[in-house]
Amino acid sequence: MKRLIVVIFFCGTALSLLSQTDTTSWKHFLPRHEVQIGIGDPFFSSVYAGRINWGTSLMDYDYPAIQPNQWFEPDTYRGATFASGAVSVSYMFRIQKWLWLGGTFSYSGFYNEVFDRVSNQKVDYRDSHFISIIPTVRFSWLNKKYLTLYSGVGVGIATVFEKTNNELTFSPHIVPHLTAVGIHAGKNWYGFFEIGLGVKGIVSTGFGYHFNCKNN
Amino acid sequence: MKKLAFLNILLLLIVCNSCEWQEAEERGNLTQRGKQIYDIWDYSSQSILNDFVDKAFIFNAWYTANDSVKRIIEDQWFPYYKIRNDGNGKYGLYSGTTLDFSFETNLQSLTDSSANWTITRHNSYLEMNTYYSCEPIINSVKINYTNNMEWDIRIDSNSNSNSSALWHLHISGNSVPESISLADYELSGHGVFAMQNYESIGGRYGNAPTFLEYEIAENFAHSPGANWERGSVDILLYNEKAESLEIKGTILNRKTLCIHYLGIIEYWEIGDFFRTSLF
Repeated sequence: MKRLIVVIFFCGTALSLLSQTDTTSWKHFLPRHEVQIGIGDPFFSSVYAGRINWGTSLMDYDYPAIQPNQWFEPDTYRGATFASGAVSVSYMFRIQKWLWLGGTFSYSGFYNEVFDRVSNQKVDYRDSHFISIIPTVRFSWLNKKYLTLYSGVGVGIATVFEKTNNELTFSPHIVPHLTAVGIHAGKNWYGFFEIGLGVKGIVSTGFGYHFNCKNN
Repeated sequence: MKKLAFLNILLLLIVCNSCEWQEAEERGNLTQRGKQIYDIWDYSSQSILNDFVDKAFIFNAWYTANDSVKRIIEDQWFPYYKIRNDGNGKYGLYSGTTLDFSFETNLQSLTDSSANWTITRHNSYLEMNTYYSCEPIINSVKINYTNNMEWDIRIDSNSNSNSSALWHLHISGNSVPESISLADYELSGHGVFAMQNYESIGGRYGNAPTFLEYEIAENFAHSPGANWERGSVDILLYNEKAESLEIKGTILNRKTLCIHYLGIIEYWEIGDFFRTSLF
């Protein structure tokens, strides 16, 4: 955790210094700042939230499904689980023509109801909220005025809040995000599409806004 | 205008993404929990019959046989054990140098008038063979010949971690079988199993014991090659918090089990434990 704070501190210092001293020509036609909102599949966060089926284990058949301390609890089954998708908000700052630093906030939600097996009445619910904040480094390897191709990587922290009728729990995690290939297209307003693995999803898309481009 | 278009696209994406992530679990069989509890009763009862009562009959066959037949019985039924006479009518089944079972015969065979045997399973065997974590811990069973091919089977709560039982075993025919697995017999009686409230996650025993009290309402009948031919048991499951469940399990034939649970009746096909399916 201390290392993460130190890294963020140095990155912030570097950003402010670079923004004041660098006067190379790319700044006149390429944007320096961007904010974007996107949505992707929630596969990665579903793993952390325990919301994915890995198939039936042989062990399921070898042991009783319930233990004596559960015999008197309601006999229930899970209703369909709905997911919000991995919604993300990112800010990125361009240090060099090819190098960006920034961060991503993401949220994925999974919601289901729980029904009594015999009466078929709703008796409980289970909502899981996956929230992460990830410092990100991006390397843009094609930098045109209206088109950018890039890759990126980040590691950050996440937590899963889980709420039912009777309890609220949370569990912290260290989570990565890798953007294998991403594309930006547009001028001030732009659309993006990314393929990678992490909290933003395997596939994510959305839109953003570039600002502080001197040649706007 | 552009902003509105982007917002529309985003909203559309969110709506499209707010989709069903996992299908609902199947509601399953309504008497599923009752069936699980019946299975645990059945498994626990048959474990006692196999591990203690059947061993006693096999040992009795050995005990009453002449030397040449003794050797055949040993090879057939106790191939991995050594039988040792520990004196005063007490015999041990040893696995290597470890005592797994002992038989206190009081110098009588199982068919002698008022024969009273005690069969004890020792911890070394128990630790290796406890399969279900909630299974009652049974260490010692007493078998007493009453008359006319009938035996009382007693489980004493003091020596069996609060589990107790009194069963009556009636074997058809006039000859004592080498093994009850080869015999037609009927079982009646009642008892209480103290279930081990073991949580596999965290590996600790819970503080609130659960008891499975049962009464055999119709004799359970056994034939070679089948677990049960017919029989009916009333089960009351309760704990110290005064929570309780009632289940009635009735064997209709070799293949069909009827479970009555929370006012619902379902018929199950009898298979391996926890692998039965609903008709």
